[in-house]
Amino acid sequence: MTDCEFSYIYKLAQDYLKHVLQIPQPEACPSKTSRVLQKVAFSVQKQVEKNLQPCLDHLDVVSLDTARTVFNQVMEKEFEDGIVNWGRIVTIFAFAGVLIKKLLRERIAPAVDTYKKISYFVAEFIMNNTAEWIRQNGGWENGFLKKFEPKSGWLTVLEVTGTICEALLLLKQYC
Amino acid sequence: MPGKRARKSAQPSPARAPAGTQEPGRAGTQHEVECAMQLRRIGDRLNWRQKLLSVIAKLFRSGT
Repeated sequence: MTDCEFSYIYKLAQDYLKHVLQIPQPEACPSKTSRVLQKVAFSVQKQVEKNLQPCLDHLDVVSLDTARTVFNQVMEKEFEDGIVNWGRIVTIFAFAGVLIKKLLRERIAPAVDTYKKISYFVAEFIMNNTAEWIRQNGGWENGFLKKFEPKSGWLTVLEVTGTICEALLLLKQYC
Repeated sequence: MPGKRARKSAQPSPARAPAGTQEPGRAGTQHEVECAMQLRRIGDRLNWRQKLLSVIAKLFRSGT
């Protein structure tokens, strides 16, 4: 299985949604790419949930069908300018995480395999809209992983400093 | 009356749906568009940050 195939992306999406729902994954340990994606997308998801709360409250997600419609509409709009990058690809997973939490909170009859169905349309969107870009940019293992895997100690310090500066700048904007 | 312009907003616009409502066939409501724009911003910022970190990592590696 190459890292640009549907099944690879489907597995990444499933692993991420299981991580969001805290479903134990005893059978097979997720790949390194999957673990790095989980870490990055989860922090983005927290940011999305915080920044977009008023907006998310207005989205009607009561069934799998409405979740799919909302997902496709938001994603089409996000990528309509034709620009693809790894940051935007991470937001696809983060938004799927937001939707599954919302769906499980709001739907009348929750199903056990909801995460599989959401993973399916996430993988479908990525395959149809960004697969070619992913292939041209090294794929998940040589493109995404190289860019997002944890760096050395010094860089972690820099990263933390950067995040603090970013937070301070945001605070300054609001105060 | 000279110097006074007609207010554009006074005319009802049939093409614009109220916030949070869905017209069949439309590419999303105002909230969905807002979500998409925020996601795009967050994604682009994350991408830029990682690019910067990669450049710094390269500099560190070439310096040592």
